[in-house]
Parts: sequence; structure tokens; C-alpha cells
Amino acid sequence: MCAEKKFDPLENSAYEAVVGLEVHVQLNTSTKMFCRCENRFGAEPNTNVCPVCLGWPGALPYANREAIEQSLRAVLACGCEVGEFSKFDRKNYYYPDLPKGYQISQYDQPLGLGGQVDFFLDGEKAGVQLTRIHLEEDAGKNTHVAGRPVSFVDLNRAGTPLLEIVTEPDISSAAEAGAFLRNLRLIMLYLGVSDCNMEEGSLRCDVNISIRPKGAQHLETRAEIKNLNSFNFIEKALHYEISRQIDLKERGEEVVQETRLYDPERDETRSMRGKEAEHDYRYFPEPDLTPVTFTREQLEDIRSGLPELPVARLQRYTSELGLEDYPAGLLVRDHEAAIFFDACIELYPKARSVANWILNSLKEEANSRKTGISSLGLEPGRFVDLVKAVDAGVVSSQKGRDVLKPMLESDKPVVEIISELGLEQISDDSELREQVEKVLSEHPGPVEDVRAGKKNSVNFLVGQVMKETRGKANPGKVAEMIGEILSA
Amino acid sequence: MSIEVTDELVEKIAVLSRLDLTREEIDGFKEHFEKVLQYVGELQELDTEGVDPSLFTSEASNVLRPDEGAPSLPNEVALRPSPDSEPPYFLVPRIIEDAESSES
Repeated sequence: MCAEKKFDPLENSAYEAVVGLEVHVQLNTSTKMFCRCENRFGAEPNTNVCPVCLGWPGALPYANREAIEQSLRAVLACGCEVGEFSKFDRKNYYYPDLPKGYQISQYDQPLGLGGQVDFFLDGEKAGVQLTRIHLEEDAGKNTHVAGRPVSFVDLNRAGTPLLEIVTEPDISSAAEAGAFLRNLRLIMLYLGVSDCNMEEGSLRCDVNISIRPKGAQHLETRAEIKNLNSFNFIEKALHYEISRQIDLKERGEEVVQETRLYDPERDETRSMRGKEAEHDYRYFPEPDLTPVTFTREQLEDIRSGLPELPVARLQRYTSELGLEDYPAGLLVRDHEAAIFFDACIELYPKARSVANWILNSLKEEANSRKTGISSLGLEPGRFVDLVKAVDAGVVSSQKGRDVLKPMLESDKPVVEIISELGLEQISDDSELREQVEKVLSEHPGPVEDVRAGKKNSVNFLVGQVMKETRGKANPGKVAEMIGEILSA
Repeated sequence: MSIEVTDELVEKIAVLSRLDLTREEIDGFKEHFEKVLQYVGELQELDTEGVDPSLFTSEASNVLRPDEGAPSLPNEVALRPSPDSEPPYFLVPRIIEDAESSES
């Protein structure tokens, strides 16, 4: 990361921060958790609703098998212990976005307990311990319009499946929280259980934070910052909150246990008074749902079907495939690119060439279309044909890029596109030699410089040949030929 | 074990339920809660030593459905039972300044 040096309130401080996160991940099932309404962001308000998710009397929940399976994938990927028995509980509170007056959640027998998420922080492997992962339903959404004494309620999101991942107070800086979250997001993307689109709220985070004298073991009073939905905001909110708490302590004041809200416009956290007057959720087992049980075999099946996770992937790319850290990291951080890369090297194991072409050219095409690599609809086989053509010198790497665009617009074989565009590299040595000699005779000055040992002039001459051949020459070969001719 | 129904208990439940109660209503609920607790309290007389709590009334487990959709309600039908609405939204008295969601 090329991050500019940010202000760090903990630098040279007598305090250390203790941070725990509650991460909410919206699962990408087709339907909601307990009813058959569509689970989709962006629909016309209150059109994906039914008697179950509206909390109409007599309507009963019916749990979505896919949501439970997705959750188990996440739980096993995070190394949680999964009991053979898990149940749902009611969490009771009143709020307009919660039409039943309770949220179906999990209390004392969640899907997963414990666990650990590994990631890299400044090149070092780090890990955060998890407390638990449970499955629950999301609430609806309230909006407010300035100047009107009402709030607007949209219940499309009410009842959609939500995974809550709770960490131990194991994190000690904003940077660590950010690295953990980015990696957790990647894990969910590789598992295919969520789109983790933070702008649409499919990944949100509550942060619990306190500070204590460096080296102390006890926990001090914490504040909670709710509903952060961007990595940037999470890191900024943590910085602000750590500074605020240090200031309080240094003035001899106490941190109050409260919920605070981060305001990105002012870059500060504010107390959210008037929220829950009391946290008394009176949990009890949800009588309208059966518990769920799993056999060891079922869990083993899911575990063995899990994809390779980001940290393992990164290690494979660098140590087994010989990629440099930087391109390996770029690939792993874009799960679509990494999955495409793996499909390509199955067909053509030149990892460096393939990585290069994905990261430089294919990603550029995807970015210019504002989409991901998988949406380009390109078959790994056709892409590999292009990389092979460049590696074999059929087309120059410069012109290879011009081949890619038409490849995305038609199903024509790569060789056909290359010949239609007239981009075949000059492979006939005598033809190339003719061009090289012509350029050498036209540029006596640089030729003298090369003879005098000036390397840069070789590049100039190669450039002239490339220009002359409209990019169809192989620059490596041209340089070689220039060397041969001039040293003869 | 018996619970004493005090004014404070009724008031706490009223806060959690977002209800404003009058003096008369508090007295009424006190009486009502006491009766309910007394009735349910009869269960306390049973000896449950060594008996596991029964969390569910049936033995069933894993009653799950496939992830397949069904039509939702039309917006006007969904809004109909609500005391106040402004299509396509439900309307409620203004909540608080900034909170977007209560989900926690």
C-alpha cells in the first residue's frame, strides 16, 4: 500500500487501544431468511414484503436452507467450532424497522464459536480471534427528511439473512482493524456467500473501543461506534475515538459507556443519546422454528468443499508459482482476477505471463467497463491463447492489447483476430533485418553513440524500428539484431 | 422463587415496550402481571431436579425450505393495515436524529 503517513494517536502514547468488532455480512441468497420474498437491494420500497417479514399476526417463519449452508461455509472457513445443535432465539426490542417487535437471532447456541482470521499486516502474518458467528435476520431501513416530523420505513431489507461475526477485543490499532476487515471481506467473496458491497450496506461494522495504559491487562470502559460502512470511515472513526478517549483520560475524565455515531462529514463521533434506554433484550428460544442439527459427515463435506482462502492463495502464488509479492497481492485482493488466473494457469502454466496480462490489460478493460473480470464473459481458454501468442512472438506484447478488445466483442479465435487486424509480428528475420538496417542508416548519430557504449541509444533505435513496423516487430529481437549488426 | 411486581418493574417493561402508562394503567398492569405470575408460578411446585429444560414443544429439527422465491405483496396491500403511510413508505413519528437502522 502506498498510504501516506497518517496521524496515529497511539504513536508515542502512554496508552494502547483495545478494539473488538462486530461485523455484519449480508448473505446473497435469492430469498429472505424466513420467508420467500426476494433478497435484493435497490427494489422499490416495501415491494419485497409479505405477512412473515411484516410481522402480521399468525404468519410463521420458515428457515432458508441455503442461508444456513452459506453460514456454515463461513463459520468453517473462519475456523469456528460448530456444535451439532444450534437454535434461533428472539431478541426483543421495539423499533419501527423491526415490525415483529423482536429480531430472530441466535443467543447461546450460535452456529460457530471461537475461530480465527489470519491476514497480512505490513507484510507480517497476523491473526484476530473470533468470539462467535451467528445467523440472524436484518432489520428494515428508516429514513428521515429534514423539516418533517415523520420517519419513512422501508421493510424490503427486514428479514434478509445476516451473518454476525464477533471478534475478541484483540485488535490494537485502526490499521489492524482495517487489515482484518479487508481480509474478512475477501474470505466472504471467495466463499461466494456475500457480495460484501459496502455502499449498499452488505458489509457493516460496529466497533467497540477502549483505551488502557500500555501493557495493562484489564479492560476499561468502552464506547461503541455503530453502523460503519466503509473501511475508510472505520479507520477514521477509530482514530478519532482513540484520540478522544486519550484526551478524556489526560484531563482526568472518564469514558462513558455509550453508543456513538461517526459523522464522516465532520470526521468525528457523537453520542447517540435516546437510543435504547436499556439493553434488556429478554432473549428466549424462538418457538416458531425448529433447531438445526448437523452430522460430522455433513460438516466434513462442507469443509472439504471450501475454496482456498486469501492467505493460503497468496502464499501459493509467491512460493509455488514464483510471482512477486506485489502482483500476487493484486491478484488475491481481486477475487475475480484470482479465480480467473487460476483457471488460466491450469491451461497454460506460465504464471508470470498470465498474471501480467490479467493485471495490466484485462483489468484495464474491466475497469473501463466499470465491472469485474468475471462479467467480461471471457473464456480462460481464449485469454490464454492470446498470452501464448505473445509469448511465442506471433504478436508483439504492445499489439496484444489491441487484440484483447475485439476478443471481448466477438467469439472469433484469437489467431483470426490477429490476422484480421494485420498484427502478426514480423517473424521473418530477413524482413526484420531489412527494417533494422534502414533505421540504422537513417540515424548515424545514435549509431555512433551505441558504438561509444551509450545504452539509451539502443532503446531509441529499437523505438524507431517499432515505429517503422507499426509495432509489429519483437522489440527484444530488434535490440538483439542491432547489437549483432553494430558489433560486427 | 417469586417475582415481586413493583411499580418500577411495570415502568421498566413499559419503557422497553415504548408505552406511556398512566397511574391507573400501572396499577392495572401490576394486578394483571401478579395474576399471570401466580398462575405460571404453580409450575414451580413441581420437582424438576435432573430434568433437562425443554426448549421446544416438538422434537422436530431441520425444518428448512429451499431458497426459492414466491410473489410478495403489492405495495398498497402491504401498507393497508398501517395507521399511516405515504406510498411506497410506512410513516412513523420521527425517531431520532441520525440512526438509520436499529439492527444490532
